[in-house]
Amino acid sequence: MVVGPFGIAAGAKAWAPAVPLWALVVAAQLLDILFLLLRLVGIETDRPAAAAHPLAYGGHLLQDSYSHALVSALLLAAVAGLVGRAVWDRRSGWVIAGVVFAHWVLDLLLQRADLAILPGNAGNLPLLGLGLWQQPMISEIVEAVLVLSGALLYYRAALRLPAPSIRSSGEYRVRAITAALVTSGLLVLALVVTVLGLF
Amino acid sequence: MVSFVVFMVLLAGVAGWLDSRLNWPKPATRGRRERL
Repeated sequence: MVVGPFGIAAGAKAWAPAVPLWALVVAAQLLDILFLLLRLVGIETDRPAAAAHPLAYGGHLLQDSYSHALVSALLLAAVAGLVGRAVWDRRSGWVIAGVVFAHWVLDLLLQRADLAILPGNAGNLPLLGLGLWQQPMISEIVEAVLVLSGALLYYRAALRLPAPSIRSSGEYRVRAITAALVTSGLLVLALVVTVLGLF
Repeated sequence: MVSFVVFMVLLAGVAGWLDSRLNWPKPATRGRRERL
């Protein structure tokens, strides 16, 4: 999953409004952030499936058996949820944990069978992945639905917020519309960049 | 990879900053602590 988790982060704001958007974005991409760090130090790898099209959408052969193992995802979700509960509230903690783990569920749908169950693929258990990436049209539709739903949920939630005071309601409305449009616009732009294979 | 990081920064940074200026409800626990 490349861009879909961004949509989940924005949409989750409707269920956990107290959590800042940046925290939900980090939660939604926590597995990929860990993957990037491990890739930088050479522990995990990302190779193009076809050498002729190294940037093709979904054209990745991933070795991400630490960052994207099922047990790693559950642990990261639990830790992030506990942090969210301590910093914000119980409901926010549950939403953050769900957002972190949703990334793994989406990857299960999209990635080829390269998701380990235990970190480092300990025990050589069967690898998981339904491989929707091999049907680019379908996986792009899944990503688009996630991103557009997230953008819509965020947009609606932001515009429903009351102004801090009646006097500032006009100025506040402009502020809410700006935030909603910029966030939704960035999500749609990320989707376009993904579909064009530039991610 | 670069695009991914750019969008992470834009969404978490720019959109996150705009988001922080909105009147979102405060966490439930904070309200409880304040009342106590």
